[in-house]
Parts: sequence; C-alpha cells; structure tokens
Amino acid sequence: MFDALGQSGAAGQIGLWVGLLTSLALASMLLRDNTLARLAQHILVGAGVGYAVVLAVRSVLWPQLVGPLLRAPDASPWRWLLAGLLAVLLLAGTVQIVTGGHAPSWLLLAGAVPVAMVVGASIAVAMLGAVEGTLAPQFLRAAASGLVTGAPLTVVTGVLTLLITSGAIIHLRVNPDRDLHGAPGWLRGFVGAWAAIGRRGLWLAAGVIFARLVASRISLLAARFEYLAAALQQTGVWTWANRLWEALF
Amino acid sequence: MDGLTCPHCGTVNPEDANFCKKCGANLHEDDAPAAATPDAQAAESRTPDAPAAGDDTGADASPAKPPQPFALFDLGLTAPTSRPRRPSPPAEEPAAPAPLPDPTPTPDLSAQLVHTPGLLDALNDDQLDIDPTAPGRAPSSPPIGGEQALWIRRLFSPDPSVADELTQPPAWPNLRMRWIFLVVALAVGIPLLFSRREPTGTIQLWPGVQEAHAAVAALPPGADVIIFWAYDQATAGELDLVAAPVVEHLIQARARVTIVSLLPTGPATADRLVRHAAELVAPAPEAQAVARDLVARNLYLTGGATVLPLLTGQTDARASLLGSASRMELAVVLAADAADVQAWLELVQPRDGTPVVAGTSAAAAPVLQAYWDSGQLTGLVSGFDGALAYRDLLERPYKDVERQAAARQLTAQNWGQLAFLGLILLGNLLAFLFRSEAVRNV
Repeated sequence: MFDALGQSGAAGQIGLWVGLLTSLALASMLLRDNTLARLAQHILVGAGVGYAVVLAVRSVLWPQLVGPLLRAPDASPWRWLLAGLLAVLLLAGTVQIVTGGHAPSWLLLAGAVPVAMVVGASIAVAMLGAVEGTLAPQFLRAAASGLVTGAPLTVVTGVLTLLITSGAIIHLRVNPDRDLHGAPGWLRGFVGAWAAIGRRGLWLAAGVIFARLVASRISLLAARFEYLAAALQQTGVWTWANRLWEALF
Repeated sequence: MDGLTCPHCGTVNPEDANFCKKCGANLHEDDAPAAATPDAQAAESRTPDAPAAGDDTGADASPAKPPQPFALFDLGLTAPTSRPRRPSPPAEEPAAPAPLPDPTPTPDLSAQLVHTPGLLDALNDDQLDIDPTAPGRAPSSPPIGGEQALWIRRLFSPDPSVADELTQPPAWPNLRMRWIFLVVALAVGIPLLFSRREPTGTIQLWPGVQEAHAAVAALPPGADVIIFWAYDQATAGELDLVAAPVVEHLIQARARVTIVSLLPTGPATADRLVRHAAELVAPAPEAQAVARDLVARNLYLTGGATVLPLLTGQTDARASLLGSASRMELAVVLAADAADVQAWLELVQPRDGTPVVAGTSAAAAPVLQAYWDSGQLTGLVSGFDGALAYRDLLERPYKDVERQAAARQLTAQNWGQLAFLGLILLGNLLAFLFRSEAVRNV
C-alpha cells in the first residue's frame, strides 16, 4: 500500500500500467461479468503461480537439492531419494496434463506415494498441534476460570459460556421433533429452549465476526481506492482527463 | 422462474449473467451448438411474445406450438428458456405406438437404435447423429438435468424447508448485490477523492494492543525476534497498516529480526514494508542501513504449515533454516487469516514457549480473542483501529503525511461502515414491510 508505486524505471512504469489496468478490469465485474474481468483474474492467478514456481526452483530446489547433488553426488544419499520422488511426481503430473487425465495406473499410484506422505504428515502434525495448542489450553483455561475461582463475575461468565456452548451444540446436532419423537413434551420443550439459546449465541457470534469482516474489507477497499488514485496521477491519466474536461467544458 | 439455469449445478442465475454464481460454469456454453438444432431454430422463429416451450397454458396451446417437454415433472414452473430441448409429440395427440425392433438385422446401427423405444433416452441425440423427428422415433423422456434435477432432489429431500423454497414465491424482491457494492464503493470512494476529513471519531483501544506494545518495548537491544509473515499483496491494504507500527517499534527497540513466510510473495511484501518503516524513522540515505540492521534473514519456506515445527528446538534443521539455533525473545505473527496465527500457536509456541504477539486482520480478531483470553497470545493488534491505537503508543510524533493518511483512512472507514449500517437497516425495514404485506394477503 505505502510505496507500492515507488518503483522507478521501465519495470516500475510497466508494473504501474499493468496494476492500473488489471484493477480497473477487475472492478468492471461490478457492472457485469465480462471477458476483461475474467482475463484479469487469469493474469493474476497465472502470474502468481508462475512466480511461486520460479521462487521454488530458485530458492529451494536448486540451492537445497539439485546444486548439492551436482557438487557432491555421494555426500548425502537421502537427497537422491528426494530427487527420485520429485521426478516421479513431475512425470505423473506431466503425463496427466498431456494425456488429459488418462495416465497409466502404475504411474498414478507411484505419484500418489509422495502426495500421501505429504498429506499424512500434514494431518498428523495438524492433529497433534490442535490438541496441544488449542484444545488442551482452551479446556484448561475454561476449567480454571469457570466455577472454580468463585468470583461473581467469573461465575456468571462461566455459566453463560457453558449454557451457550452446550446450547449451540444441541442446536447443531439435535432436532427435538425428530430425535425426541415420543419423548415427554416437557423434555422436548426443555431441549428446544436450550437449543434456542445456543442458536441465538451463534447469531451473536456471527454478527460480531461479520462486523469485523466488514471493517476489514472496507480497509481493503479504501487501500484500493488510494492505489487507483495514485496510479492515475503517476501514469498521467488524471492529467489527460483534466485537460480533456477543460477542453470540452 | 426468471433467470438462467446453470447446466452444471441447476442454480438459477440472473438473466444477464454469463457464469453461474454458485459453481462458475459458463451459462452459455451450449448456446452455440444448440443454435444449429431444429429446436433452436424453431425457438428463434417464435415472436417475442409467444410462449416458450415450457409455458403450457392449456387452452392457448396450439398444435403448431412445440410440445411441453417437461410434462412428467411440471409442477407449475416454466422450463428454463436458455436450454432448448428436443421436442416430444404434442400432448393432445396420443403418441404413436412404438414399432417393435426389426427382427431382421440391419447394418445401419443408427436406424436400429431409433426404432428401439427408450433405449437412447439418456443419450444426446446430437452425439449419435440421429434425427429426433425421424419417422418411427418413439417419444422419449426428457433429459433430466439443470432445474429439473434440482427439483427432484428437493422433492425427495428430508428437509421440508428445501421444498418450501420452491413452492413459495419470495415475499420481497431479490437483493441486488451490485447496488450494495455500488453504495459502499461510493461511500468509501467519494470521501477519499474529495478529501473529506470527517467524521474521524475516536480510536478504540482494544484489549491486547497495549500489551503488544509493552512486549516489544521490553526487548533488550539486539534481541532476536522472529516474524511469521503470513500475508501478501492480496491483503496488504489492511495488513500493512497493522504491520507498519509494529515493525517500526522493532526498529526502535534495535531488535534483530528473522522473517519467515510460507507464502511465495511474503518475503517481497515484508521487504517493501520494512523499507517503508525504516523511512519513517530515518532520513532516506540512512533508511536502507536501518532496514539492513533490522532484518537478519528473510526466508520463504516451502512445505506449508508442516514445516513450522522445524523452527523449534535446538536442532540442526532449525539451525539450517534460521542460520542459528539461538532462542528467540519474541515471535510476531502478522497474518490476514486467524488460521495462520492458530498454526503458530499450535505447532511452534507449545514447543519453544516464546511469547507471541499477533498483528491480524480485523476479521480474524473475534476468533483469536479466545487465545488472548487464555494467555497464549501476549498481545493482539487487529484491524485499522488496532493499528492506529498502536501507532498512538509510539513515542515518535506524527508526520504530516502520516496524519493525513490516518485521517483519510478513518474517514473512508467510517463512511463505509455507515453505508453498510444504512443498508442493513433498510433491508430489515423492507423485509418487515413486505412480510407484513404478505401476512395481510394470507
């Protein structure tokens, strides 16, 4: 935002024009869905992916894998394993693209092994982290600060938290008319009332999140306007428009 | 039902839409080939006022009119006009009994298939190059797709509200998103373009901002700090506001910063922001040296969040990634998404115990409040208001350009939020009025 327009030289000018035109093309989506807006989206996605690929090759694959292998092939055998997995993935992906998804099954299976390793490791790490970093600390904190301390305000907060949390779970998981069919009326009424408290708690939380989301997106919109105003001035479009206006009126 | 029905998911879209609002499919992808079919030609030859193929009006129906293609499932809806269907025989005329397949083998496969009633119903006539109007062609069931498929799914859905959506017309006009966008854009854009500076209001000091400032202020000179840079240009418009005062404060504290990012454009975004912050505290010739003194490393890490645990502990992996195995005094997470802060708190903080200060988008704050309450976050700065509150705590006086930028930001923010509030009130009022009218009409 701040000095995004501060690049000098030909690259800066090209970036300025591309940024201005892309922003305007994307903004034209407000009028209606159109080819220019779609083209701008494709440019953004394509440029982003291209940049990521170049960066991965330059800053990871070459210096950490290919370069060391070329310099000292015998120094680190595990790098050969990584290079092999990478080659299989590249081959599987390329064949998939070239053949339109009709790759041989053995190649798909071979390509699935490294992907499975990555996905499996990610899930294991994420699950352990969720328990260690969210579930356990949040549970312990709730247990420690709820009814145990005895301070009036804390007790009220703890009871409300318990009521709303359990009510939200009931609302999301239990339908009194369906799940408690045949149960006494008072029980269905009680569960329904509890679920109603949870439902209102969910609405309240959604409202708070929505309000902050609106604030966040308005910040982004204001930054876009600032960018457009600065780009229009730096490219000279604003000056041309002023001259045209004066000439016409 | 007005609108174009998506051939892919069955969602009804506005008349002027080119792509489906739900699945993004091209709503006109079958127009070009369809135009060559006899149906499309017949449809084009109709006058604009003539009923469409699906509008079976009973007495108005004439023998020349294309027959009702959805007779089996017609529950009062008109068929979508964007997808010309193949005709079936007129409803008032009993369908000719389908001839039995010719017992003698014929070399013409197409002709043989044509004479087999019902066999090809699920297939597209165009693909087989079969003339649907050929003599002896049996009446076929309509192809089930688009809105029809949606109808059937809803009819058999156990959730009664799904069926109600179809049988009850909306009580009030549809919301036009475009107008909402336009109103909010004008509310934000006009004050910016015409340099209005009111209302600016008072900055709310949210819980966590003062604590974040205190955590940075307590750093000894030369302290090692790690910044997890989890935003890029897409959200820089908001996150730069948050990151700038925090980074400037780190410069003032003479910290040594290691920046790590899982986003390809993260390091470039960080480099730009650090240069900006350095220019705020030092004249231009010295700013570059200030930025260089602050940032020890600026790294892009591949592998996603799985790589984060490698940043902990006294391990070779950590030393190879960070260039040093020394312990960090403070971790700063600058993230557009609450999930990135959670990833750090789950995968790194439990292992190394480094205090964490988060600078986030306003949208992430409600989710992260629980981590602030539990003490897992040492400080929390979120949104434009958190950023301005943190900036107020810095000792350096405002420059004119900063003061103007802050006033512009606040004005645009307030007008935008006022416009949104007005739209919400208007929507509620309209809903209330239309609902009252609907109740009266019952």
